[in-house]
Amino acid sequence: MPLLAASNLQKTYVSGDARVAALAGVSFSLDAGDFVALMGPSGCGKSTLLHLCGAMDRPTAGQLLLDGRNLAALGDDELTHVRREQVGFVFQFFNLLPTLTIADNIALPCLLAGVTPQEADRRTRELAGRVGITPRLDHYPQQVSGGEMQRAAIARALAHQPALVVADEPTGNLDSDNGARVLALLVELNREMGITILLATHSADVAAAAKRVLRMKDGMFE
Amino acid sequence: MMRLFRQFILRPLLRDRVRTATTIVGVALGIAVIIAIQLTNASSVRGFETALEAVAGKTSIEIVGSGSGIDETLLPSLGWLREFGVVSPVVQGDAALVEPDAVGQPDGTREAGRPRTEAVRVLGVDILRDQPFREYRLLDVGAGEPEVTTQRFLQLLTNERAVVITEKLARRRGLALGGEIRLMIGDRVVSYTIRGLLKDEGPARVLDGNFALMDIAAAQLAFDRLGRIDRIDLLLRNPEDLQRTLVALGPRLPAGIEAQRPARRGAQVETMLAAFQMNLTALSWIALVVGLFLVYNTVTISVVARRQEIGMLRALGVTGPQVLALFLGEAAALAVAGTVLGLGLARVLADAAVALTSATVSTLYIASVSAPPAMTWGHVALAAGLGLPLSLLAAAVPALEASRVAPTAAMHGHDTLEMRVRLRPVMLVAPLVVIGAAAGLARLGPVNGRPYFGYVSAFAIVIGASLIVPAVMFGLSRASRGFLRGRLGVEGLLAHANLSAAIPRISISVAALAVSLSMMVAIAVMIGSFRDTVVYWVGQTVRADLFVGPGVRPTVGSEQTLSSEVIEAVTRHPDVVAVDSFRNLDLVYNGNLVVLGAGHFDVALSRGALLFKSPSNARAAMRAAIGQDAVIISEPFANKYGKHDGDVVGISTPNGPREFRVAAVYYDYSSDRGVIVMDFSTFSRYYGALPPTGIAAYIKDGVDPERVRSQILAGLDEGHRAFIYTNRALRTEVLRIFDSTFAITYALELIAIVVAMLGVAGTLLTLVLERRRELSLLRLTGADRRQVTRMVMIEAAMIGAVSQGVGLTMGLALSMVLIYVINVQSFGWTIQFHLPTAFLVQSTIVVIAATAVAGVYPARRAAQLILSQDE
Amino acid sequence: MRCRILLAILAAGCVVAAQGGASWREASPGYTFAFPRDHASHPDFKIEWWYYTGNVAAKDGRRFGYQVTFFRVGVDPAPANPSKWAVRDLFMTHLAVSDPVGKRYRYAERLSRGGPGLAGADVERYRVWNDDWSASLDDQGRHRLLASDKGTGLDLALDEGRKPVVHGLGGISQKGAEAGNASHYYSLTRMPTRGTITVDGERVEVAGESWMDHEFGTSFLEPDQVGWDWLSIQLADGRELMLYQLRQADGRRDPRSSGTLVGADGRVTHLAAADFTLAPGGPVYRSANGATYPVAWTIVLPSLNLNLKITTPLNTQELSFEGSTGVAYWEGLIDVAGQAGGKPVMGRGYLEMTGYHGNLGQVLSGR
Repeated sequence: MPLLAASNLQKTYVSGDARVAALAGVSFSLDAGDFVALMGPSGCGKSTLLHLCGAMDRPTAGQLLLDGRNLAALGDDELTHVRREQVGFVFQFFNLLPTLTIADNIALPCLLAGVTPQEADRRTRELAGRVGITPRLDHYPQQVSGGEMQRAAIARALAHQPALVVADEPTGNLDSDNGARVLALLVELNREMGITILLATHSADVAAAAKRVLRMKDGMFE
Repeated sequence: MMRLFRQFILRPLLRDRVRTATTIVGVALGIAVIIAIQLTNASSVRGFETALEAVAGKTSIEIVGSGSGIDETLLPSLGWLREFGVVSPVVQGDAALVEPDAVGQPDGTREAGRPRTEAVRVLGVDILRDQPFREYRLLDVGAGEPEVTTQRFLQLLTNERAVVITEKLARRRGLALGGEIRLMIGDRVVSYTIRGLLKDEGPARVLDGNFALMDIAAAQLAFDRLGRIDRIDLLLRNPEDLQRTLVALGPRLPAGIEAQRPARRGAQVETMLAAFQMNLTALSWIALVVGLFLVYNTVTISVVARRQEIGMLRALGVTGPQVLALFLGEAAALAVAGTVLGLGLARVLADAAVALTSATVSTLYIASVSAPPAMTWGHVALAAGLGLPLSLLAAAVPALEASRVAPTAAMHGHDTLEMRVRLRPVMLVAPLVVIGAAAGLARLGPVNGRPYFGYVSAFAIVIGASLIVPAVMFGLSRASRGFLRGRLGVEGLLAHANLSAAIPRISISVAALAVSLSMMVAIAVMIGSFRDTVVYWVGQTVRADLFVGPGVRPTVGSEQTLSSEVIEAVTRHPDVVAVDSFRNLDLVYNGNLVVLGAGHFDVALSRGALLFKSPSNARAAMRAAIGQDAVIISEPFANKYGKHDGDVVGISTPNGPREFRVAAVYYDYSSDRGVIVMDFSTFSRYYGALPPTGIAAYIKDGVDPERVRSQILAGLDEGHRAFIYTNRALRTEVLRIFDSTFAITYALELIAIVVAMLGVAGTLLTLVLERRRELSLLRLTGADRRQVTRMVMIEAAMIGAVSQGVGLTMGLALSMVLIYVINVQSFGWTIQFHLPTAFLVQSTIVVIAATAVAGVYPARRAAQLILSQDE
Repeated sequence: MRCRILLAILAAGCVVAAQGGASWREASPGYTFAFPRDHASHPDFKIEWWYYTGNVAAKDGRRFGYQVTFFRVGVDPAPANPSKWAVRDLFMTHLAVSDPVGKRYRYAERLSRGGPGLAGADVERYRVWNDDWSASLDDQGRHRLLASDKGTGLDLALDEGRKPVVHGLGGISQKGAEAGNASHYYSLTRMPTRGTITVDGERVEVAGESWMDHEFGTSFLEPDQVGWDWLSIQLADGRELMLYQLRQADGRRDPRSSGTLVGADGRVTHLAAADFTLAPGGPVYRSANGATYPVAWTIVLPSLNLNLKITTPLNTQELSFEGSTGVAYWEGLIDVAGQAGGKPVMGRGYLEMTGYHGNLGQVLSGR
């Protein structure tokens, strides 16, 4: 059974009288350990698809099975629990709460999920070591560089050991050195920890690092 | 610009109804409380003054005596007054309307106080002389009489049981022409025949129609004032000669009699109530301050929630000043709506406030009407003059912030996050300087008998404490992190982080709430201390077993006396071993109304227990004063007029001004007007043998005072009604009066706190809106609605806790100023400081719970935020 | 016989007195007058008045008339209320000054209760006062009148002149059919008078002759009597005449109308209704309040061959106290001309006309 299976997934935004079809019926599946890159121009629907897959939003129509559960049928609280337990995410920017230290940010999903502070702390230190930001743990987000922020975001995305990590342009806001470092980190995590990654990007370099590339246009796969 | 204002400001205001409504209600409450207190204060004084004016009629000058009225035999010798105009002798007083159902049940069993009765102002005149003075319009005196001649009018009144009442009173109480009306005066219940009804004109308007006209002879009998009249009204032939006539009359009048304008009594009452009312006024301002804080909040929310839109406007070419104008316009719109609503609300609040204060005013000072006066354009102007400019001032800070938003704010992702502000030394130094100044101001004396510096000192404490809030919050932020994280889990961690980051933003909310709470604390401490002091004082000084007073409570301008029947019934009771009768008079001292009392010093010394302030051998000094031209004075009198034992006080007596030596100063909390007490023998020598206004009786040891009381009451006939308190009942009554006096204070406080709660809700809403993206991120990270709600509520409770903490400290400081400065200077009495611990603990819990509740709405808003990064 | 004025007050007195147990003394035959004691007050009678009218002139011959009347009307002989203000009596005093040359007529009133000495009438010695107005007997046995109000006033000293004349028969002047409806009534019919009169602030020294009535009793009138016409005349031939005529509701003359003639020698003749006619005729005066007064009269005493025409040089001599007591009547100086026993005779006097305004019977019955 695939980790994620979408069939005829549709998402329509209603704004006033206008209806915008962000997703016009897409079907695909993702196996555990996969690393898929979504590519396409701005407005092609890749972010919408990412949000649906990350249990951040519900489709207008269609079915989306994550680990056998239909996300389309879940309520807000259930989606929250899905995110809390099964999904991690990394965005282009604003991944971290500015009021919390890097350490607290990384530990946050664990704490929210009810993991003991000691366990959360252990995982935080371990992941910080992995992504290479241990010295920055007691800093606040605005005190560290963009690359460090993204690496911390990745650590946070992994802290609660999710089945799926969705990443929306995770390197889009970084210079090429830092971008490369972050990308390498994702590749490494996918390879060494078997974490499933669904990633949206404009960059062909990034896409090249994925195992699979899906191209989108006007809310459909090409 | 107008279009921009409509679209950019008004429309969102209409859309965000809760927030808009909250703010408008907040401003409205602030305005309403101020206007309501103005109206309430006016109601007691104006009530007295309008009654005075209505009764004074065309009177240009009144001639009054020192002591209890004027000896009527002086009248023929005052015939020369005719040179100036016409004169009319007047006997006036207040009676209580006896409820039909209460007849024959002279309160034999209950320990309760006097029943609440309607006061009726009784005017006794010689109608033959009085008609030029006052407009009496008789409604209908009988079959087919076209007009009422003076002589016919006299005929209606010429009987000691005849009375003319107002049509209004008759209609209200279902009384009819020819029917009976029962009036209680002093301790006597008398049935009168209604011989006429007055239209609602002239004196009939007094006390909302609670007016009765009697013949002067009937009034003398009713008020036990045979041989005396209360005053002589003089209507000048040439009214423009008023000032000259006053001067001319002075030297020609006999000793102990003086001429004054009728309005002077109003001025005296005004002075008497000034301290009480000034305190209320000061309190009412707190509500406005808090209301303005809401305006600040709302405009801040607008600015914060729409930074991007503002940025867009700026990018489109709207200038900074235009943005400033837009948000000031928002404040103005809110202020106008709030002011209009507030004026409407003021009416309702005034009714409530009058209901709360009229009991006090009429218990302690004067008979008043329990309806506030009509609102005037002056009140509207005051409301507008306060509401609008102050709202604009409150909105200036956020509006300036808005005008400084950069055009780049419109661009997604380039919003500048608020930087963490560090604690700077000035944040500690400035408030400490202000608080130091407050301490200095508290040491300054009164100005014109008013504690102006005390109020400034209190204000400085408020400012200083408000300024120190950020520093306190920084400190607390450091200290509380571990606790919150450990005890309240991830929500506690998040709440702490959020609040710590938002200290500049929430400091204003905390300060506003703390100010409100501090007032509550201060007043609670002051009242608690005062109450404790009074309880102690009552316990020490109230020694007699029974206290007998007339059925009608005396007020200024209306003495109520005991009749010989009642006095005898008490004296003759076999278990009564000693009796001390006392007599009170209103006395004008230095232009103010004080109380002149007379008691039997020997009985008071042997059986009573006055608490003396000075001298150390006060009891001996008091004993030496018996029969001498010496008095003892109450502490408020001593403080107000700067008199001490050994000094001399000049008192006007029926024999002219006399000097009395102050033998001692005693503690007294029964009257803030100040009391001068003479031994009865001295008093009688100067003021004649006047009936007592009360008696204190001592009974045999071991006898149940309750039984003696019942027996005395049972022995009284139908026509006499006295109120007898046992020692215990009197103590209860004193505290009941005490508590009812301060009911309004608590009510005002409650309003201020409610408004402050709205403020907390608003602040949290600001924070929620400001942190939309963070909250969204939090939700994405896996926080469910419950966790978000809990987090916001913890933040709210934290704000409450900090505010209460600051408020408590500030409040204790304020209470010191209230107790040791304002009270002493405006009322003149010493209050022993006492901490009402239980109340403070309870209020702390209530405040924290209440602020947490105030967080519910913002919390729900936070939890409902749309989960998206790119909306 | 100045009863009209009293009727309204009398009615008031009745209502109140009915409540008390005490009662007033009634005038009864056999009363013996003694002077000067009887000048003083008789408080056990309900109603009492002292009535002065006079024709006087200034040195330059300018003529004036005056009237001062002190009424005491008992309200309650023994008030239950011990207050001095309790109304035992009402004191009503009327002052009027006539200036026929200047066509001026000024009047004023004082209405008071006794109170703590504000108004009263002494019993021991003749002194009656109402505020600052008073009538009294001085040490020389002269009557002193003192009254002034806003530029109108008088200050007069009156010698008693002739002896007091007691009216009626057996010391009693009968007014009604019932026994008690009577009074004790005497007059001083020609009192040499001097002093000052003030009109509109103008003070004039005057001298002339006055007439004083003093009457006291308890009940005077009957319900069907609507008014009176009364006059006092001092004839130049040394005689004085007093007549009163009671008018009934049906317009007829009451049979108890009567009068007194005092001869030049002082002899007193009682005149019964049948002895004289008193008839209006000629001009009338319509006052502002709507009353119509006949200001010219003819007197015929057939038995004495006396025919007198009464006219007045001043029509407007009406006192009207609408607001205070509702009392209105005409009281003024008159000129008398006619013949006595075929010879022309002149005289002066005062005429009183009552009951021309309002309904006397209604007021009388207290309704």
